Amino acid sequence: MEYSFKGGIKLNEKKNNKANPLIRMPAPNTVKIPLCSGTESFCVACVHAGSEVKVGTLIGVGGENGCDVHSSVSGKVIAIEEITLHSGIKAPAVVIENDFRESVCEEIKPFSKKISETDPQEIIRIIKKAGIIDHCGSTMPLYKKIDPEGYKIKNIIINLAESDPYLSSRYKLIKEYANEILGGTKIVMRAIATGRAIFAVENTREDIADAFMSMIGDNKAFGIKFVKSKYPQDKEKELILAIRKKEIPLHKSSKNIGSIVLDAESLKAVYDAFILGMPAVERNITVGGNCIGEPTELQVAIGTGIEDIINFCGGYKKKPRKIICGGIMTGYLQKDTSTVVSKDLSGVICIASKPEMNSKPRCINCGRCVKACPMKLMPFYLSRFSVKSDTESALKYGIESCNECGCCTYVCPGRVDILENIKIGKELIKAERE
Amino acid sequence: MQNRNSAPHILDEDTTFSIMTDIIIALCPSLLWGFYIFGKRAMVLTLISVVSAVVFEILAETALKKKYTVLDLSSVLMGLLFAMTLPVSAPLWIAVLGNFASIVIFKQLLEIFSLNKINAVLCSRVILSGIFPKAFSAFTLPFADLSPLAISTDESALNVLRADSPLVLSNQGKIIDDLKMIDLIGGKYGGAFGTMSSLLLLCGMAYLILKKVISWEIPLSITVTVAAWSLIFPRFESRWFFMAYQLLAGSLIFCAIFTATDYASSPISKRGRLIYGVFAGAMTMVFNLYLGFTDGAYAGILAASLLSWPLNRLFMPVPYGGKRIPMFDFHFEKKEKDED
Repeated sequence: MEYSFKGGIKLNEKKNNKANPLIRMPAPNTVKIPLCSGTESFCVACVHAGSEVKVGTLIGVGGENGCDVHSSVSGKVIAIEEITLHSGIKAPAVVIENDFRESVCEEIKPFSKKISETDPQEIIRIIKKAGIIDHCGSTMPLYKKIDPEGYKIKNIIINLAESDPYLSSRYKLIKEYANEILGGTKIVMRAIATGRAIFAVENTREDIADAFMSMIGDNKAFGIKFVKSKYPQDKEKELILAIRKKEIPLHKSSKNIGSIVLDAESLKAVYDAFILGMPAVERNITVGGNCIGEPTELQVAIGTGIEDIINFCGGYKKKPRKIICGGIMTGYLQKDTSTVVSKDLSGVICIASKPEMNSKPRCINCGRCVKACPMKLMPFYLSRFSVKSDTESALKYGIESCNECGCCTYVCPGRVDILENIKIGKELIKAERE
Repeated sequence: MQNRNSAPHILDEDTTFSIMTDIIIALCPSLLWGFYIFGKRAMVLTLISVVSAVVFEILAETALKKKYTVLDLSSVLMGLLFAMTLPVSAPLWIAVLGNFASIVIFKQLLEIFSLNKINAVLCSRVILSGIFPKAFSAFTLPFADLSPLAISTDESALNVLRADSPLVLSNQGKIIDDLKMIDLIGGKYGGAFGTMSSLLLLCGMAYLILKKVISWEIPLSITVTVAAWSLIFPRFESRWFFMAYQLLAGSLIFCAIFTATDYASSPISKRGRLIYGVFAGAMTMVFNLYLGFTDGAYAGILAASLLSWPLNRLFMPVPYGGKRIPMFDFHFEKKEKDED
């Protein structure tokens, strides 16, 4: 039985279909670790030029609402300078020169008590100290996402689907570390005090389903549900629409209806933080596209430069027209390869596609955007209102429900840049509110 | 053509140009059959119609200082559709006049007042067939020898080669005895030269549905309504023959597939399309049987397209997590000149 939502689009998969597991890329000569976690506020550095650091040393303190940052290599801090992240934001970063000894910090110890005897507050404190962020939708720190905030959480939904056509690192991670992900799930369930976890698996990935079913056995607290593999199934709101068949009210989080959606990378990081004591210092990315020499999935240290990653994967086969950080549907276009891997980067894709845009975009009223929108909006109206700066009508027609998935712009035959217009409309509304 | 610099970074391959090309490809089998049955004059009419459509579009867009949209083939398609609804004996100037009306008046000028929610080809054909009825209804026999380049066919030739339209006669209750059913289905009777062969038109419809250019709701609901009405209120002794004449003779199938599914004038939602199709079929029968039109399909679909704006407003989806959008909301309907 397959669960799904109305709308969405079917994309041709261009994933790497070799069966290799995740390849560990050794850290390069210098790493530049950004002192922020995605789009949240910046951390305060607690090291300076000349400090000696080891793998796992705390180098940035997040404060009340932020996330701690730890070093991913051992070596010496050269400087603290400003870099541009892949999303275009400028942030401070700690530049560390690698001494290739990979010595681990002395404070890293596995967690000594049994999970079933630990206080939930202690679990959340350790997750906060480990600097883990959420990868499903937002980039907020994980301890904030799993804080029940007074609501009764009925179940957690674990996102094991990956619907971007070029990314495949989540699939390789789940295949290799299925046990660790189940362990992380149990730890988080104890922290939220919820009794049920549902794993959402794509219907084309039966090997993952088999692996999890053999691990779960008869345990009634876990369940597996199959979802249709269409874009954008792996985002939070669409998963809740598919599995719980409920809509989250505007401006509220999913805890309102009693579910929290987590994904596989965060859960493996939780497991590592408890069983090994290691904070979040590395992540898994996909290097793909038809311009890369040997496209593959890598496990890289946070702060590795994109240039080093592309060289590790065989350099360029063809000159790329576009270098994209992130997925191909929601990623950011890069001018050059000077940016670094931050905690929220999921892929590096270099493609040599032909130009797609028209110099005369024109809406022909075909209605394909309405059929494709998973949030049941009418994107051609929202685009028109945003261009005319009519924020009142845009709000009435639901512009705040837009998830920015890009389905409307993908299908438009008139080549109207609907997503860009909607983003402009949202900026106008935000400016008006201030 | 330039690259996108914001998400998403790949786009679907369908463009306005490829949709128009698909529709023209779907029209070709029936068009070529019309050339075979009715000879060179049909080719001349089609050529004049397409060329004048393109010329009028260039002139109108130059005069109104808009960007040129000729290259996306929408005016070529309009010229082709108008030509296919003409009988082969039509005077050559009617092709030029019809395209002037549909492109300059009903498409470009109405777009300024943002009233372009009607099908321009149907509108100009209905109005012109009221002003010049003989030009649109002087049907001739298949394989008749008409002069290709004569400006208008003269009376004597028309009297000799005249064929009665099976549709008109069936509206009055008269069956044609020597018209075999295979000729009616295959397309060898008196009528407009592009709308003859129902089989080839249905092949075109299958191609368009497979390519996802049109959807099945509108053609199905129009034909089912017409078929049901003609079975319930027949004017022959055999109700099945009456249904066959109403469906196959005349341009009902052509209009249901190619003009009723026009994006600008038909509703977007599934329920809206079904209601629109039922209404269009009902109005076609009313125009045919009770108001004495030669071919009521054009006026029937035009009348139904007046409903498409209310149907769109009635069946709007409710945004995620939000409230229902009010049905009548007039202040935004005025479009600016260049909205892109």
